Amino acid sequence: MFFDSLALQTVLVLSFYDLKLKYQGSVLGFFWSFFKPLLLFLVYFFVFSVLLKVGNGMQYAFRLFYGVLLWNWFSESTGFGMNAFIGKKSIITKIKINKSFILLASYLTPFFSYTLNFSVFLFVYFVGGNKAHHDFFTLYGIGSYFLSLATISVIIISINTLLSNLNILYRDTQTLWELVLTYGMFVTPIVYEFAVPEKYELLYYCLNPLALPILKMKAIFFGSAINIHNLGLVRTCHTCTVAALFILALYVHKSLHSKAVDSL
Amino acid sequence: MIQVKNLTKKYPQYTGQYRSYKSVFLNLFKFIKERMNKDCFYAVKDLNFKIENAEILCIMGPNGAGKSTLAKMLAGTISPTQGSIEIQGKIVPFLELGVAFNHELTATDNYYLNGTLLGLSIDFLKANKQKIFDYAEVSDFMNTPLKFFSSGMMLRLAFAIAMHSKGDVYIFDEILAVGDLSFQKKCMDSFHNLLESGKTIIVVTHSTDFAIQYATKLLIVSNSRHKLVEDIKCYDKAELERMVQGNF
Repeated sequence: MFFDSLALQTVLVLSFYDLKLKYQGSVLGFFWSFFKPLLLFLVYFFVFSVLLKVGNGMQYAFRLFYGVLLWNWFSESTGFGMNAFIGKKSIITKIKINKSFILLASYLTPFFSYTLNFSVFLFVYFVGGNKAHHDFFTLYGIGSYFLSLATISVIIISINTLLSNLNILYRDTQTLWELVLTYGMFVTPIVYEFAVPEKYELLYYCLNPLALPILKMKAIFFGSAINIHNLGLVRTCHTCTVAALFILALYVHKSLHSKAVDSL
Repeated sequence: MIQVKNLTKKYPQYTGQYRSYKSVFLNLFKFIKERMNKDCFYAVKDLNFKIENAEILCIMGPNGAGKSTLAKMLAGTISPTQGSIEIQGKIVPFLELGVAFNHELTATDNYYLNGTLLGLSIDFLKANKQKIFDYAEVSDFMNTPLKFFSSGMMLRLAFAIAMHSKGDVYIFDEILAVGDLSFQKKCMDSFHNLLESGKTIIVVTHSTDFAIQYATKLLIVSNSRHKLVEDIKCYDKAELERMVQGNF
């Protein structure tokens, strides 16, 4: 059986201790997971709502804060996942372990961080008086939120699978991916949302599969409309793109992982 | 029962270090030529053997002969290039002690981390924590970060966790006894317990004396060649040592 209770325990223990190590030696330790996003929000609030007075009240600060949380989750996950095999070299080469468990653990650790950050976002969201758009508490809102979360998770796991194998064989994958992340933040609706011309919509949302789920998640909390002309077609093509990415990742892993382990 | 059929592990003999895309692009023709080149180094070539339950197989040979590669393939950490390995039962590999030990974490944290990776359940680890720490003689340091442990203490803890893994096939890569003399005796006692309980054991060793004393079969590997000695008692130590040097 691929995933029995022992396998689940292995994945959870690996990710738990990775998370523990993240805050090892710091005075506030685990509480940084709450303080850091809270301080981040206060910075955005002060700069964009108090000093620059961008947008309507605190709306922009909230939107930016949530966008940055999602982006940080993505960049932290892929950064962590890319080094999953290299960082766990001693385990992979000395113990018989399903490599997928290592990849799953490397996904779960940043996901726990995101969940904690998200709880801080929810806190400031409601304390900040965002009562106008409570789509999140409708059945559609919750369903749409978790569907988008699952889509981003599939994208992260697929990218981690690709990068972790490639990074063993070619170490400059890491540098290239850092560049992709730097550019990626500005072509994804994080800092600002831009109208994509109709003829490029399909191309844009397929080349940047992260954009659509992030737009949807922002729409749930801030009630903004998703300005896509042919939403049905874009959704279908986007789903196919994510599925293709996942299949490609599985294929690359199957083809390369044996060679990659030999190169560790 | 372990059955190995036509087992081969080969590694390509690359001259260049293509660890970056830059080096691949700058040496593209050389890279393609090397990839097309069929020159390979055989760590293990066309190996066949079968051992029954409760047998003890010793693997011997000079350094670089492929003993550890074979142990890794049997343990399932690397895949063979060709051939198959059929193993009935759960494998407990002792290829390296303290795998995944993190010096920043406490002994208890490392105990759970290492134990889980060796296939022990959290329930088992909780129930046997005191017993295993007592075995390792580090019960007073359960909450001490591993960075304050001596190397002997770490090895004792690692050995104690691994020794409590329940398996059917145990693979030792030159690790049978660690620590000081009294702990080494404890290790050997545990090894004898495994023998008495009828476990299948594979030991990579350089000690001919050990092989003569314990092995039911001896596999000698040298430069991609191998010889399976099934009647080890028929050979004296000098003959075995000559064979281990590759004279077979």
